[in-house]
Amino acid sequence: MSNPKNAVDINCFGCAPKNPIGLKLEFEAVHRQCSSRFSLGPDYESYPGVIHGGIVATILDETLAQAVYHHGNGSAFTVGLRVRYGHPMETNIPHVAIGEIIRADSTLIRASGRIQRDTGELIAAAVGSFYLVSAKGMEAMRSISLERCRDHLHEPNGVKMRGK
Amino acid sequence: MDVQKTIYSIISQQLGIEISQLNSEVHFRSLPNISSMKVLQIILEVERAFDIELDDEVTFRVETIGQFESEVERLRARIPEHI
Repeated sequence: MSNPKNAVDINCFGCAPKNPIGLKLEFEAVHRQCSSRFSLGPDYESYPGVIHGGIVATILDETLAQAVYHHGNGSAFTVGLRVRYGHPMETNIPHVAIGEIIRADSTLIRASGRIQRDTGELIAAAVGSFYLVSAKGMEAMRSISLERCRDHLHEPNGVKMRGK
Repeated sequence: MDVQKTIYSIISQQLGIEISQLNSEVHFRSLPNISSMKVLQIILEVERAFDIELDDEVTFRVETIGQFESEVERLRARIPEHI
């Protein structure tokens, strides 16, 4: 199944290649695992030399979601995510994020994942639950999203000005 | 499944130490090769082994291997929730 996030009009903060402020994570699937190799610069820091914990959580969320897609389960939304941090993620250091499915039924998928240094040390881990969305549901959301984009096209930076 | 045996085995493997170095009185902080990354790895392995989910506080409140074992036993004794 193709990854719905690879569609040309998708602007996903985690994986879309065209999002200028996104993480641009690229994933590959091998057997039951989905993984991404990356290194983040100072734009994503909290303390100097340390990647923001929220960004770490975002990477894990994206990795788990990609595991869902790559296992042929279609589109899904995160409904629960538990992140645990073992060590600060350092800026400009190679890391790998790995996700896999724990269990799945027709409605919910449970996945787990971790981020580790290229050398193997564990940085953070997560478990998450994902609610499956039908193709019809995704199409409805895309329609709403495109409608909103069109509304904002005439505004500077695409931001809707309130009270005008 | 023998809780103590499994926990000792996981700690031993993760830290690269002998099981004979472990007992319920040993403090995690005193273990060779221990680090925050290793603690998280041990927790994840124990959760997977027993199909439980440990609270975040365990990382900070539990000091000895015996306390950790008790917490795992407590969670294992819980009646599974059914929706």
